Amino acid sequence: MVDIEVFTSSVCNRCQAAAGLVEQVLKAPGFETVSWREVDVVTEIDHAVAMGVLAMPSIVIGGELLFSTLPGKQQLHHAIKKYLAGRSDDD
Amino acid sequence: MTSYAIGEVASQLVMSVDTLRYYEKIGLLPKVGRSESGIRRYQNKDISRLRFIKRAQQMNFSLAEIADLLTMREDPHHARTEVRQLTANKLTQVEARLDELNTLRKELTLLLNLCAASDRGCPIIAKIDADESEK
Repeated sequence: MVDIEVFTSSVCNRCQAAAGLVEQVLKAPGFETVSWREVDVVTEIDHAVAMGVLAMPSIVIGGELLFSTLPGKQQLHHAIKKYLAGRSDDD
Repeated sequence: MTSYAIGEVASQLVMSVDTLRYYEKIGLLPKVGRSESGIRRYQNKDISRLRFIKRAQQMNFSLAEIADLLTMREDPHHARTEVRQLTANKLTQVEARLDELNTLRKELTLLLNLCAASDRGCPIIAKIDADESEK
């Protein structure tokens, strides 16, 4: 399972910014093992609906919809850090 | 007590007068009270029963099944075991339909939000066209 999914569409102005933000945040130390992918909402609409995505951009981390709008850099960093802490507890 | 003529009931429930007469003929609706001049006058309990019939029909329940469900509706404490089981089965069917409708609601909401975000045409139309061409 991919750790982070960024739900975007080609017609959404802030979607490119969301993908760029995730790329940027994942450059931080400790985030090297985090995988992510961009999901086109129109092409994968069933998956988007199943994840509870209603607006773009949306960010799902660890299978949970955490952001339904473009988050701030710190917010995203904190969410990924929290996810990783939870993931290592399960290991 | 308020009562309604067949035309008013047909209009309110969006059913034809022929359908209303038919339901009475086959016993799905007990004999409707008449005015002194012999014209049907529907009471609120008749309309309530008709609304139930209409909802059940929209779920594609058969008239026989609806007749059984109506006996349950009239007297749930003395319903036969088979009728109770039928009611439980139909409830499961309704819940499954609600899940489907909920998913459809989410999908349509998503598409409308996509549309609102676009100044280059509406993805909703494109999706409908894409689905049509897949059939």
